Amino acid sequence: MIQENKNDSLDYSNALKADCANTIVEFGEQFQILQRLYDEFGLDYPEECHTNYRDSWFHYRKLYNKKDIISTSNEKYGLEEHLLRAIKDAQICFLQQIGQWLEVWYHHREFLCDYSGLQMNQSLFDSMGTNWVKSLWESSGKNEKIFADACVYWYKQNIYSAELGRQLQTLIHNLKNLILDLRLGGMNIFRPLDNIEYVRRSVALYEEICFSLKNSGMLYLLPVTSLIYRNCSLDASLQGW
Amino acid sequence: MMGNLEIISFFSAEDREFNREMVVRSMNQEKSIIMPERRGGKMLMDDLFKRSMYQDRQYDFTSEILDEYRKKWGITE
Repeated sequence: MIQENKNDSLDYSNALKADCANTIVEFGEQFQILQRLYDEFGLDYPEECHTNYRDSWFHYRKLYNKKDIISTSNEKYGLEEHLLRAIKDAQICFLQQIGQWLEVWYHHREFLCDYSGLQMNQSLFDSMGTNWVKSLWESSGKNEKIFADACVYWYKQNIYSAELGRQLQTLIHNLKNLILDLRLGGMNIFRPLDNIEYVRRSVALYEEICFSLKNSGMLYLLPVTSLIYRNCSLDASLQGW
Repeated sequence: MMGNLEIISFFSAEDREFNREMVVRSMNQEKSIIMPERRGGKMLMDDLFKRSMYQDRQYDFTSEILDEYRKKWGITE
């Protein structure tokens, strides 16, 4: 009887090990998906997510040598904790960065200088391709200040409209909703049955942002937002808030 | 294992390189983007920034989710 219990325990422990190995692989695939989202906008994938993923492997190594259920389960919880932390941080960091960029353009009157009254050098805008931001960078001689001024000028004159403003508003709220869901999910100790649910929602939101901003050309402005903010920001405007 | 989760690429390889270059250029800057606190403040309505009350908001990103949270844990105002 004792021998039988011991065998059951060993089977369960082995099943846990196999389960943990699958979880690590599954999360690894999710990290690859998120890495691609970061790559699209040229963003840095957070270092902490790599270290958390690495730490989950340490737990797996410890777990692999354990024979009893309690120690194995403890390591399993530690492993999952690191994986969940890594995936959540990677998503929130991405969403926050995109949200911050969108807010600059949504509140452009408060954040960026107004060049509408100025006469810009029209030759800058002569040869603009699909990625007009990239064309502008080349025609401005890779001068950050000229480039930033021209981007803001073009955005205010030709891209921004009340309709785009409403679109940006909706997208910002969707981003904040998802971030809030992710954070409160952690506080509620809520874990979806489908491990990929939140990643799927992040990807859907990324696609929604790209689809709704591509036609107006607004999409290409997003990755250069920080550079433009550096050269054209209106710090004084922040005091009113 | 991951189902059919495909990512649509909206940028060409050259565009992605350009995006990366722009992000790197802006990374070592002293001036980071500072987001002002806007709770209960102004919002864009009819293309104008107006001071808005809580009930006027078309999109409220806190109430529904936080209400659920409060209900679950019995948190009252």
